[in-house]
Amino acid sequence: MLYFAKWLMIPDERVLLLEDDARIARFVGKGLREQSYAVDLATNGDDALYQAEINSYDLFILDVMIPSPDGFTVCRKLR
Amino acid sequence: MLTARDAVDDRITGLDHGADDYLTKPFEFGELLARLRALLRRSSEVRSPEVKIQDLVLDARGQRVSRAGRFIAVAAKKYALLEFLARNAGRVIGRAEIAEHVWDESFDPFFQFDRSLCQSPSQEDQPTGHRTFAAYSPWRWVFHRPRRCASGIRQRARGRWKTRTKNDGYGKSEELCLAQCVFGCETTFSQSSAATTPIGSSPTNSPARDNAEFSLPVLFHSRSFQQLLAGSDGSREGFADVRGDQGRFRGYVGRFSTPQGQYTLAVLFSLHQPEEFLEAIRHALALIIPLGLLLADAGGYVVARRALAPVATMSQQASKIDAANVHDRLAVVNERDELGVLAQSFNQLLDRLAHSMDQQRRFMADASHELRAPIAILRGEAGRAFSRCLR
Repeated sequence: MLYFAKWLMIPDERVLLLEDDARIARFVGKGLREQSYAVDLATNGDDALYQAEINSYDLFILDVMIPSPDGFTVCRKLR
Repeated sequence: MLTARDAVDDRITGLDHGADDYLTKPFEFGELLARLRALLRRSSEVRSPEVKIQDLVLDARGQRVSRAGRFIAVAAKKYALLEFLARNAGRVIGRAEIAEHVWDESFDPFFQFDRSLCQSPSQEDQPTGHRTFAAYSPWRWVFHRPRRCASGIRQRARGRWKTRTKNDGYGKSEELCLAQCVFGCETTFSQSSAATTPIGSSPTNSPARDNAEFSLPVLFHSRSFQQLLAGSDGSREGFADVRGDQGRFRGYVGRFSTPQGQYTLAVLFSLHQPEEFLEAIRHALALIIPLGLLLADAGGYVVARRALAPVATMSQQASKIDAANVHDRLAVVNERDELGVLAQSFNQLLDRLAHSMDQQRRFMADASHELRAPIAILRGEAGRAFSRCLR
């Protein structure tokens, strides 16, 4: 019951996960949601930058080796 | 950053690009969560109490607003809205986001705060004329030659002694006319059978009396002079060195006949002054040559050191380049000289080397990424399942 209650809770923090590997993205996202984080997923740099423009995030989890541009560039542009 | 690239250079690059943390795969999911919590705590603690946009300053401690040093009175909610807008300067912020951050759960969705609050700060800030929020960003030797001109030599030779004497032992009916000259003398020859001055004696007014350099009798009876005369018996003329007590002479003996009789002409050229001159030169050179060599050595050392200084600098720079700083390059002072061309060639070599190393590193990273991703998933899933069982 408590487990399902967590899903009903309003997320505390909003996180953007930038990961091109679907398997990792799925399990990390799932684990974060279990911890009451609101998780958005982006699979490439442009998508992450776009989502960062239209939404407000408390945290960004960035992979480096991703399609155009790489994680370093996304990080610099976000800053 | 959550990545399989675990090289130190990659971590440095990531943090330099603005990342707050760097976690490599595979990772413990619990560690990821702990780091996220730490980052969230830090973001709230590290947040600066002051926000500055151009000359607009918001002080979160006292909830005060000032522009160009002049305080502007704002209400609490207005300040909260202004701070939120200021901290997100440059971003388009939606109404829902403002409501979420500025208002709490008591937010009335029908409250028209847009017009009532957003325009307030600028209205109160009218006198300054600012209405927008924007964040913008290195021996000379004088060799003294003997001052003797040709005319001077001739005058001196003419004034010097000319001795004419009758042969009394050297050539029967011959007359010997001896002229000693100094330096390219003119030779004076005359026949005077009446003259009976014995050999070796000079006329009273002869300049030879003044010449203290040598005495003719001694010279004429010298062994070398007799050898000169004897040597020329068989031939018409001859040259030989005549050695007197006071020095050496270069001697010439010539025999010729005239209708008046046979004559023997002997000319002695004193080598005293040339030898003095040569001696002076020898002494001078004994000083000049070592000194010159010394100066040449010193000068050569200085010039060579200055000329090779860029090479030494390049060598020093090149010795510092290794795998850790393979992207460093040699400084090119002048692109057109030989050293500049050498430095450019070396830099191009380093470029190719760095490119090759980058490719190798990238290959390793890609391979590592492919191998670590499944491991990360396995560890993560196992960790989650384990924690779930514990609960």
